[in-house]
Amino acid sequence: MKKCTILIAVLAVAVALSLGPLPNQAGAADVIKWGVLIDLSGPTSDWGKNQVKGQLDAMRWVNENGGINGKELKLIVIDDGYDTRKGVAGYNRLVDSEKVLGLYIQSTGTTLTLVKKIVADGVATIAASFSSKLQNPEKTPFSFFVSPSYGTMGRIALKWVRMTWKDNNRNPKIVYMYPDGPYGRDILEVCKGYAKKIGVDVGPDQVVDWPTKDATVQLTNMTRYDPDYAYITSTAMNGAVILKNAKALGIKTKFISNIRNFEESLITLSGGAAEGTYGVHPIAPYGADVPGMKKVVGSHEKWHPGETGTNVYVEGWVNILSVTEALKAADKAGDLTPGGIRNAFEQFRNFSTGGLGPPLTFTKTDHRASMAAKMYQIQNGKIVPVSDWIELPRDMEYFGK
Amino acid sequence: MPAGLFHENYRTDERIFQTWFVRIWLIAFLVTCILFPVFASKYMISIMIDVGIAIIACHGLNLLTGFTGQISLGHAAFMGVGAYTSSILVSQAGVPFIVSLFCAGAMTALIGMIFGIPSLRLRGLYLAMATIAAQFIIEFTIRRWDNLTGGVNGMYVDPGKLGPFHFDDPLHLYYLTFILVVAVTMATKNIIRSRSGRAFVAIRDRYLAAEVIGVNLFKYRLMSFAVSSFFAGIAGALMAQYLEVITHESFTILHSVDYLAMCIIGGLGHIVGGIFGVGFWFILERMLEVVTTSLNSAYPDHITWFVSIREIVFGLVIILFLIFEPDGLAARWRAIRAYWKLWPFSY
Repeated sequence: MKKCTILIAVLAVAVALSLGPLPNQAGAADVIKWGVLIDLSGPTSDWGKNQVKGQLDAMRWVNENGGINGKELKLIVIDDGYDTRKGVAGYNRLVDSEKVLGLYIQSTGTTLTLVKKIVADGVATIAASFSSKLQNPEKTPFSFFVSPSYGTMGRIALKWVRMTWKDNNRNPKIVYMYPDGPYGRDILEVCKGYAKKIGVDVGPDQVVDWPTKDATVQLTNMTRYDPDYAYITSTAMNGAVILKNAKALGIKTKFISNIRNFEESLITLSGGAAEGTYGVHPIAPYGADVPGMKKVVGSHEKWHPGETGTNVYVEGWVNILSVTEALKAADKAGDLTPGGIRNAFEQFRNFSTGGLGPPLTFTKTDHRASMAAKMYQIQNGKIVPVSDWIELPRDMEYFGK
Repeated sequence: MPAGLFHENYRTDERIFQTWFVRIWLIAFLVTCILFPVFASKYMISIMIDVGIAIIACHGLNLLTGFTGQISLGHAAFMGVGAYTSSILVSQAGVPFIVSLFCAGAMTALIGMIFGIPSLRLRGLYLAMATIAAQFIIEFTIRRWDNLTGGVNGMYVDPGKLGPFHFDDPLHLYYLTFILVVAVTMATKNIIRSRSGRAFVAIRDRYLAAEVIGVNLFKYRLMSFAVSSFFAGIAGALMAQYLEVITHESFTILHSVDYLAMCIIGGLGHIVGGIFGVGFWFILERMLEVVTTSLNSAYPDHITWFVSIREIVFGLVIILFLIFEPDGLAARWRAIRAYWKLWPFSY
């Protein structure tokens, strides 16, 4: 019966541990808590791990350089495994139990699921889901993100395709490849409308689901239309499979990766198949020659020697540097509440992160941080810019769509 | 005073809770559940709602898999049917929430019966394949029927109301879930004690023999699917209230597998199995989360290790569990009770 007793004891301890009060080390008033709800074990974990690395390093750097007006910034990271239900549970924990002032949410599905709760609870959020549906403060007053939206970047890519097109006899042809979900389908309406407007022909969509093991069927289907460009919405882990398959099939179409697909690990994962492909991106690649990069590279070399830096890591920095700026302003105004943070964000006018990302602007009526991105190409295993900043006007036609 | 439990008629013999001791503990447990929100944080209440929903879903699955022996891997999709039915009825047809709750159950039962038809011919793994098909078909329908379900962007759920209760308040939703959990648990127990329940068990244990003694296999298999899906539908409608916005991503095959795992851990073919399984699952998940988040805060440099460790530990615990407790927690519970019954003179 000993086994029995041990089992009961273990269960009792388990219950006590899980129901008991959470370890509340950060109770002091000079600590500012910020939540991070991110995928570290699901289909987008390759991306999430680099992102969280960037955010934590940026946090460390901020704290070593004065913190938030002397207060310590503390990130509380919860893994949601790209599962909306775990995301909601994690959100409840961060907001109700940890009492964070705001949080970062990665997955588009989780963000959409939480939209209503975020408005009701009034929590400031920074999203990795660059969906334009989160840019209208009338609907989502507490949502911000530090980049152009997916739709805007899709339009920037189209504009670049049109700008660089030489053949006057016909329009360039493009095909969209994406996983069937809110993330994958987010840009379709906007981009197809814009393509029609500026004279780019759009072929039949190719749905490539996650996790991607093979895209031969979709690529073969695509070649029937024979597009000049294919726009991939994916993540590097999955997008690399598409590029590898395309190389094996000898497809001549030029691939343009969206922001989530276009990172340094795409080069290694695709085993050279990414060479020559393009990407549209607002964040500077790791090690780029911009004033803000010095501290990023310095921190990475100091705290992660031997690891590869990526533009996702840089994006993590941009996120935390922006949050820090907003928190500092809110703290100075003596209003360190979600409402105060919202006001602080809305004071951003061309806030610069030293060239790591585009200058950021938020207003009371418009949460579009930026309308600019650059086109890059992978040349000799390096991400090289092939255009200057391409900026679209802040027109209301595509606002919130 | 009699030193033992002696039944003088069938009525007492068939009682669910046979002694005063058991009844007092049960009442104490229920009172604790009712008083729980008084001393629990908002976060714990939301977790308990999630637990309650999982228990309802697991009772349904247990009835189908544990008692009738039909493996189903489409349970989360059936919950999705319930979630969308209830939400659509409330927001587009203006049906009162409570009515929509039962409509969700009925609709899901209907869909469940349709996918249950192959069960006449298919058994074991082949039936599991057929239910996987149900999972994919339902998920695909939700994703692509834009006009009705909102497609991939998901759907806002109008908070249910019943008199003074608004179920967007976690407290109200907690009590609704609690009442339904009790009701569903009682219903499942009573189904099992009835003629249909005995037919289910007969089909599970030896379907040929069951048929020989006059059990209509098709009828009872279909009935099992219907009841199981009914519970899934109700769980789904509650899940919609809990999540507030539903997308197809909330009802994936991974969730179906989770529910099956919860049932196996708790003990297939035991009513308490559903409750124990869900309890174990959530406690383990939360413990690992608390441990990993504290470790993450303490050693941010190694954050990716801890996440991997968490996944490994979760898998390991379940494997070890199945090795050492193959009959689930319900069997262990029975052994513990038997031990204490004779304590301290257990010769």
